[in-house]
Amino acid sequence: MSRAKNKHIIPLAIIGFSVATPLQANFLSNDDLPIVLTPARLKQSRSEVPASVSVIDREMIKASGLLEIPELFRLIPGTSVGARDGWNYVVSYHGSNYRDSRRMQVLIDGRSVYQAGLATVDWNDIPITIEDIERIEVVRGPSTASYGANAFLGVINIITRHPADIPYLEGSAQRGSEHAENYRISHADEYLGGHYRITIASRHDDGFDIKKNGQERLDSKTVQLFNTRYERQFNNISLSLNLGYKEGRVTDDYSDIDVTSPDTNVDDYYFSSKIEKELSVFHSVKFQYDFSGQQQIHRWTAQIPPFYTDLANNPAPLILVDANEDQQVNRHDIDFQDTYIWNESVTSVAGVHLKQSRVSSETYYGGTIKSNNYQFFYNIEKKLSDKFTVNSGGSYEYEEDIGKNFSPRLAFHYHVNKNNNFRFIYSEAIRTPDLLETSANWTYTGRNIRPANGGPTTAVLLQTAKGNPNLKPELIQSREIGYYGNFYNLHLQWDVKIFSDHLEQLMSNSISLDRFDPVNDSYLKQQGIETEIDYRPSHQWLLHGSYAYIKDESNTNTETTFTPRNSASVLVSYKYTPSIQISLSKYYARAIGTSENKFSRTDIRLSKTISFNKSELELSYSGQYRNDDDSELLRDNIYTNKLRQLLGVTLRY
Amino acid sequence: MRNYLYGLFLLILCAPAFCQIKKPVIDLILPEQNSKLELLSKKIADNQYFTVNTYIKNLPQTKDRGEILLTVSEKLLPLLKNSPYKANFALYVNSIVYQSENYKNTTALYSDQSMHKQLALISAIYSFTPLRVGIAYQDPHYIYEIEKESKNFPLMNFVIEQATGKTKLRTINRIIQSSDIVLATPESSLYNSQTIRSILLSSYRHQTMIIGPNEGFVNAGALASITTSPEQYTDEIIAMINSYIESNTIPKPRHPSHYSVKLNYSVAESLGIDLQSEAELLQEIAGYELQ
Repeated sequence: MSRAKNKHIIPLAIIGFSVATPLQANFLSNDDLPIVLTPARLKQSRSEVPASVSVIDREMIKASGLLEIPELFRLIPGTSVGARDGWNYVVSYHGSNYRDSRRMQVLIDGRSVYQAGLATVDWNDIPITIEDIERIEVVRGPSTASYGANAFLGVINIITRHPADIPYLEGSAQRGSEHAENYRISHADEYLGGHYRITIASRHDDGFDIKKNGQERLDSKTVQLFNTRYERQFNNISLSLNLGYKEGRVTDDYSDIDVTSPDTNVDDYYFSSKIEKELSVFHSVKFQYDFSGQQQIHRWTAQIPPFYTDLANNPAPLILVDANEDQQVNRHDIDFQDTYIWNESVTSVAGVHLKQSRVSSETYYGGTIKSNNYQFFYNIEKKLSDKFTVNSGGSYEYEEDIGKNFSPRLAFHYHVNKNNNFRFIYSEAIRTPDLLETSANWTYTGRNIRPANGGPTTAVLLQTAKGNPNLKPELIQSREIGYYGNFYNLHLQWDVKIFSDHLEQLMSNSISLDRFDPVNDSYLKQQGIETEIDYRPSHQWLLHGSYAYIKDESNTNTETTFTPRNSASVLVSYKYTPSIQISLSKYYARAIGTSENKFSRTDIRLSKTISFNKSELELSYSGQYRNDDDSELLRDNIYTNKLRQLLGVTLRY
Repeated sequence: MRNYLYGLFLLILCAPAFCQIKKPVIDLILPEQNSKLELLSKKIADNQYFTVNTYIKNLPQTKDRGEILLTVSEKLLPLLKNSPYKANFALYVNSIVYQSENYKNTTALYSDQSMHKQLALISAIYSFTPLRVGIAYQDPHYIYEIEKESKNFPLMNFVIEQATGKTKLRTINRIIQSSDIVLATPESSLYNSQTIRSILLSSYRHQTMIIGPNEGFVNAGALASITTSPEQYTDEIIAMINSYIESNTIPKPRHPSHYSVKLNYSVAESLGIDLQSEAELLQEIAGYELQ
């Protein structure tokens, strides 16, 4: 038997023996140590994960100087990032449709933030700050087999900082261009044998400056949020509790008929609980319950001709109506997962996931509707030999009104040696149509009609839109060949992926009242290559680079405008001394957006840390300079000054 | 003539008794009674150089005392103060604890490995590349140790901080976050069954390796350690006592000369580290010590 094989068997044997007789080499020890990192707790090595994975860690987040969480994904190869408004970011792996973040699953500490009601991930409504994030794992490729529907193009898994990892007290203030004002306080300590963290933050900026015609843009955001996390270990049980609330207000441009500002107030709240128990060193189970809710208040006054409504008898040429797009969305998720190591070569992960979505809106749904989704998923990893590993996984999913679907995944790894690995992956995934797409009953009810001219004071807009209950899920078939090199003693990681994806039954039409027509009539083919390199030769240097080339073909322009043919990023950071850090980053994408825009930006961050007693003070400057004259994503997204700057001060105790 | 022959016979019969060299008597004091320590006692007694009388916790009566005192563990170090024995040996005592007091006619075989060996293990694992090595300590003596060793390991950038009081876990956590690898000191006040879970989970969360002070750490989830087995300790203390018996010179206190490398391959594999075999690393460490 070869050495590598022995390596795997030996630790299992040691652990098995240790459990039976907790004898230490320390022959006097009365303080026998528990086995903490059991095989059941250890994660699959990145070289054996049945997917392409990228990681954004805390050092990268800090060095990037970025303020907005979605902008971090510019560092991930093949990931398109754009802003529809100053507050409305869109992130999509391999781009495709820019209108909404519909095809990526986004998790925060395992909790999905996908909004079923509006079929989108609203990055502005996530009740965490960028400083709360420890690391982000991005699964680049379909992952329905592991993460369920909507993990269609990939998964963004945001892991927040553990309460034990952060200072007792941290306060920061930032001010900069676009009247950006960010304030944040966090506190962490121990309580009842565990660790907790509390974050309170306030953020504001004015968004883009002008439209293409020179008019002022109204797309500011103001957010106040609170979140907390509690972690505790009871021998072989881990308990995690999360709670958060966000109150936000965004402004929007007036349309031709708006009389008052069509601003929106959105409150978001969530609760999440997770219990992990190790039944043995080879067997662990996880139970998670999540609840999230969103209340959107969007009310304004519009001026329209009465014949747009059912009040054709009103003689006034124009009437004022109070309209709303109020919405209340709730979501419950229950997840149970079982990890079992059968022997030294077979590991299985299986589980069930139950999801209930409920949405209430007079405008969008004419009342309240709900949907239940049931999923069973599994993955089996089998080490065929030292050189070969196979992962077979799948997800069986049933959604009311949609029916049942099965998404398989097969991955084959060839380990040239421990440092060099090739992967061959075939996967299928689905994105089930959301409530808005299947069940919309979209119309506006105008109230407080004035002048009423003796007639009714309530009117219904004649233009309506209906969801399509016959929609089928969007489908993707993905084939990839990848290479992952991990040269840990050089602190170098290199990943290459060549892919060919075929998407069909896509719902590409705009989700807007006048063009609402959800049908499965589009397809998209994408082929390309992408690479990512991370090199940290010493603790002073951080170098991260990515590049992607994507060639696409579709029967609709909508599915190609958000996929740049070439995109790249470079992040270089150097610590001149332990207290002085300088970082430079460059982001490039072309063509992206409705006008085949170029996006080219250079960022710089400088920071100086001053330590005194048990505290430290950090002063920082961040600058973002656009190297081109194009608008961002859409033609009306323009900053008047190419340079955006931000000054920050942080105090840690 | 008959009487002469009888006298000669008696002389031959008694000669061995007169010629037999009396073996020194060692008083072995154990900190408690348990099967592991009984086994240790038997192994020490199983030698041709001296006789062993075993006692628990206390010294024997004056009339029963042997020539040499051998105590086991730091718990029994107080017995070495003002010891009436000509030579005293302390087995399995922490080097820092032992060196904090001045004992006369005493030597020790430390329970902990030298920092030099543990750092050599780190160097061997990382193929002698630049590293941030974090060390949280409680006893200030470690500052001196680290300063001394930093000259021997120029590629290592040490991140050190004293961890005391209620914030010790937070301090260790901070060091884990700012290091590539953390060397755990053999201070049970910092690293014990109450704290190990939090420390190892934090290290795994941040993908920072821990080098533990003993094999128990490796089984718990540390990446590696230099360890010495009970047999190796026993052989070495017997050799030290025998050296004293032969030369009448008390040897200097020392870390165990015999050791092996223990690795946790499961943790290494999960974190994507390709470890050499324990034997290969042992060879590299030995080579490093010879340099």
